[in-house]
Amino acid sequence: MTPRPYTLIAELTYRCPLGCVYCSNPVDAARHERPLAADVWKRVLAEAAALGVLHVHFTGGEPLLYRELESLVAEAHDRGLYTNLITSGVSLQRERLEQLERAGLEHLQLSVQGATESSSMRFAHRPAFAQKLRVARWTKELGLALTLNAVLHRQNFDELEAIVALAEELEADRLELANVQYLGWALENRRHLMPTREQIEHARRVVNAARRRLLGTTELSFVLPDYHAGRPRACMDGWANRYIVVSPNGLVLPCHAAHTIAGLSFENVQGGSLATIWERSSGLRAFRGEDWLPATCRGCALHKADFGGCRCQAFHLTGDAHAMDPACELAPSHALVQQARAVDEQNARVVPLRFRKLGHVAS
Amino acid sequence: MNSTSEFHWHDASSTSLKLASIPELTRRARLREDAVGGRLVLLSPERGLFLNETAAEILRLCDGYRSVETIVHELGARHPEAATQIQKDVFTFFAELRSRGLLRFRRATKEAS
Repeated sequence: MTPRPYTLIAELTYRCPLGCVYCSNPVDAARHERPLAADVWKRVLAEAAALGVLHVHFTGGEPLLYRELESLVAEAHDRGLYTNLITSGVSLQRERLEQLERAGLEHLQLSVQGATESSSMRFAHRPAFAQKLRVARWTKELGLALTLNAVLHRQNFDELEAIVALAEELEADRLELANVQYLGWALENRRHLMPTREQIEHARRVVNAARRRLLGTTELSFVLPDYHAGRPRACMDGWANRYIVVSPNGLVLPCHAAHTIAGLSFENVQGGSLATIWERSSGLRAFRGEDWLPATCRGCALHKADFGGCRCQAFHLTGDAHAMDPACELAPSHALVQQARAVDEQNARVVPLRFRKLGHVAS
Repeated sequence: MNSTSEFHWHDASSTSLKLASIPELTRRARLREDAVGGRLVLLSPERGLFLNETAAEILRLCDGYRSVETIVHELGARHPEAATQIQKDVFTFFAELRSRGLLRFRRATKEAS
């Protein structure tokens, strides 16, 4: 039976004013963008709600660069969806945020690169921090739920306490401490980003203490990174299981990066209804459920929790999307992850950081 | 990451709840009927809690006017066979929602004239 999707991730554009070194967008994405018309997005939102979707995340790239964002938020809200804007906040003025709130926006997830302006410069290539603080305050003043999201890596782990304090000061409802997932730009920059085991152990202690202190006010989300856990992450809670991602060009995907896997075919929302595509797309069916699982995973009880890990990671590290996720210590390719961890921790200074190309320049 | 789950009863601490206080959903939480199954679901950032009948009945009474005490009494009148269990269930449920930041309690104020 086709599973019910609960969340729609609507990637409105790959363009972005920031150049984050760990961006999970495909490396050449912004150059190939053909944005969907607003009436197509509105149909997608209506069809998603009819399929049982409860949450929609408007994201990108930077969704604020999509001119008709307000009308999409209004459509989603009319369909009963819980609306979330995932944004850098860079170009957001208070007046537009008020318009979005009136349209039905309920939650804003704001990215920070660290707890200082210099982190913003070092990792996003733009001084955005002061603006982010303004956006966070407006968000709370307007009564929206606020999530702060910080991607953690070796070069900003020492700001963790300051990031937690910032979330506390801004009265964020949630703080997402995300580990880098080594796909897209992050894989290019892996040697600079790979944290040490000590950093992760320290982070775990800081997070546990903060969770106790902030219970009922700020919820902290932090999981052990798969490269260090020896276990694959439960990527998207299973392939084409609970999440639908629609790319800026209209591809219906199981995650942000699945179209970078060679040999898979995904449908475009412009060619059919979301319900039909969700059920029948060969790309979505490729790794849905348990039939595709490698024998080792099938014999391992943990596949109920990790769904066999990340297919993009399997493909980009081993060349075979059907292989076991190398993050798993039972995978024959696990040495790839062990070596990457050891080498990347030691040899960070050999190659310079590569900034994501500024997507808003090209058109 | 996102999770949408069944509600489970937890033994969360409930000692600080006062009978006179008035529970209401926080701004980040929204109750709606599920379009697919018709059950009540409590939505909040990245989460959806499908409520069982008991939880739904309790939350429907959290209207920003009724106090904890009133809610317990009303439920007790509806379900006399379970009256002794009800206060414990309500307190446990409220404590759990509060720890998730979905419910807040304000002190009862004097009647508006």
